[in-house]
Amino acid sequence: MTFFMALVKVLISIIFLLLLSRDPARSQNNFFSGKTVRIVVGSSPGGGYDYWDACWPAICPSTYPAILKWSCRTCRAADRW
Amino acid sequence: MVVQNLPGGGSLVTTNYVYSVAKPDGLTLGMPNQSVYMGQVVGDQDARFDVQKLNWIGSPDRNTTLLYIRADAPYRSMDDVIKAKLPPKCGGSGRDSSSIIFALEDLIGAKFEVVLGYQGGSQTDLAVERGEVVCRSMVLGVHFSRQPFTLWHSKNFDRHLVQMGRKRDDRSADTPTLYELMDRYKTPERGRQLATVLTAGENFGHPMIAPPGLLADRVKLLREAYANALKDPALIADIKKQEYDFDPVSGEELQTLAKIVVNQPAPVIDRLKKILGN
Repeated sequence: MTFFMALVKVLISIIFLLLLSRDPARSQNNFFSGKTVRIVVGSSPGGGYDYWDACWPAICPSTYPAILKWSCRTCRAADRW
Repeated sequence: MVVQNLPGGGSLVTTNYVYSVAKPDGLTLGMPNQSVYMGQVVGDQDARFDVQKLNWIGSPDRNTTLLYIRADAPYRSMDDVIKAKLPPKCGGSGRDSSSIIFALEDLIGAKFEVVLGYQGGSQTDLAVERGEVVCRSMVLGVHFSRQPFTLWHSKNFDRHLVQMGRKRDDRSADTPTLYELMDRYKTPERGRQLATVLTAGENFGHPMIAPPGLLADRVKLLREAYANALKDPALIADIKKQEYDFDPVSGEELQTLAKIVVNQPAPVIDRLKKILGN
């Protein structure tokens, strides 16, 4: 009986873990954990987008809690794709 | 989070990059300008993307534009422009940014002479002050929050002929909207479709995009995080202090808008090409 109860507990734990790993929000949030997000801005620094592109690194720690790396840099305007 | 400026081609460079180079994992997002869809609509060879397949995350605002004119010019309203023998002379930097002025003749019969080639908005405003030109179209929010316009308004230097939003902005409550004028002048359906495409950019505001092929769950998470970010009290307080426009647009709404603007009848697209000089 004790062995049977232990087996049930293990099975329940496995099912719970499987369900947890299949929770889309949690798994997607985990994906961003520790990653750096890059925002590519279509205008030059000094333009009207400065406010909005600068504001994301400032406010995102509270809304993208899983993203841990924060930095800011300006790319060469001559870069072409 | 890294912010990288990648200007060129009116955001075509950025959008091409996000569309076809960036890995669709949610770790690269783009901020193109509000009219980036126009390249695809008119078949620009450099627009190597489909805005319908991009994942639109959201926008913090809508950028309604306004057409101002010097108060000492002999045009008190759009009716005067329509009846005038000599059209008012507006200034602008390029056809794209002045496209709505070119379109007004098609839409309501108001003809303007447009002098292009000014380096930017500030240079055009100086040209208006010097009297080289008398009118220009620009973002309404900027017109009511920055110099020299606040000074102009204190001296009644200019008046406002039309605003392009669907409803009148509180800051310019006495200025008719383009849609009111189209009702008054009975603009046919084809013209209304043209207006929808030309003014759609205003609803895109300062949009954020993600590459096509991104997992739906990840798109959902990014959209939710973006919307939550725009509820940040400190951000809202700062926006008010800076007098920026703030009217968040959801990713879902932008996604729908992207579909509408690129699926236009051939005659509308042909007319757009002509207006934009393509």
